[in-house]
Amino acid sequence: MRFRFCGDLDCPDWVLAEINILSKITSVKIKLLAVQVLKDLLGEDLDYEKVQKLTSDAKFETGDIKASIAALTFILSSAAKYDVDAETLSNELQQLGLPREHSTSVCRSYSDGLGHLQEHFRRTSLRVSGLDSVQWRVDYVLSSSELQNVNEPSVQIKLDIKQSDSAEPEPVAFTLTADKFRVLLHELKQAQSAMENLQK
Amino acid sequence: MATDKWEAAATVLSKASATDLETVCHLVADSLCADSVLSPDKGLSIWSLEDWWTVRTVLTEVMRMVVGRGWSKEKVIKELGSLNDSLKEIIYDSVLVHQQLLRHKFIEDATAVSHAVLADFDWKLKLAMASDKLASLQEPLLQVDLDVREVSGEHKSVFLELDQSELTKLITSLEMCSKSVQQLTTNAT
Repeated sequence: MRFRFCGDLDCPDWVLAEINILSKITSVKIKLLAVQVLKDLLGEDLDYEKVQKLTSDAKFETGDIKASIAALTFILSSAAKYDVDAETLSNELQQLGLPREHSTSVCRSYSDGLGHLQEHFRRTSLRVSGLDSVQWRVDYVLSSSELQNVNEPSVQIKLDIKQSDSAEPEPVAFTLTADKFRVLLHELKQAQSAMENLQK
Repeated sequence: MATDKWEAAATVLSKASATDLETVCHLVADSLCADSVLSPDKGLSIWSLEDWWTVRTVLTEVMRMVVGRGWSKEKVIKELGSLNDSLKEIIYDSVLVHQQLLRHKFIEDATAVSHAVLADFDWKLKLAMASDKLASLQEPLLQVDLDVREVSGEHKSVFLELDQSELTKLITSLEMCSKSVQQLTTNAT
């Protein structure tokens, strides 16, 4: 069977197996557990004590807790990845054997967090590099050893480029003549208008 | 003093016919503007290799003086010493032809003094379709390659990937810069 929340593929066997464990806790607890997992997916820290409390009623062992968190992580992140709406997700979870109340609870948390989750995924998608900050200075060159009367502005630009999410931004500084600067700015504007056309 | 050196070159320069000298002048100016090495083949039919070097040096110096120091025709003619007047005029006139480009080249050189300079840049606009995180991303990304020439002469390539907000930030910042550049250029003229 194929599921939309798995990207129109089969549901992985391990998730199927964990559905059973998820059914053991109450529908209220599973909603709260889903909220914790969403927090984790959004990059905040998971509150393990709280998770332990939520699952204590069902007498979960450490292995079970890990498994339920892993399964919820997969279900929520994969559903958000393929932009599945809450209702479809609920139906599909029921087809996998999760009780109806549990599915609705999970999906209530899911529909609350979907927007944030997709925005977060969009921001954390692979980027080769990015611009951190720009600094510039305009100099007026009066004279030089080569040319007695220069009287031309020159532009110094320093770009702080972040190479990956964690690394410190790397500074790149260079100078350019006023002519070259005009060309650079003009071309960047062309690129910008092309980019804007794309979004229409 | 330059004049002595130029005086010594007069006999060497006189070996060339007027047309040959004019061609050589243009070649030297071109190679100076393009920062390329001029092959000595062009002059070897007229001069020995050593003489060719003298010719090249003298012509380059004349160009530096006329364009860089603003020497007048009279000054050049005086400084070139005993060289035939018609040859002197040919040299001066062919320098004038390249004056704009030479000036541009000297400005670039002045800009590059003790700074890394932007030698070239290229860009490419892409639409990111999907990622491991999101099946449908649809995010436009601009890739910019900057070719930066360091003071040491080494070229360093810098790759930069910008999304729309970063590009807007860059352009807004550079727009401000452009304004003051424009003010300076209009004030100067």
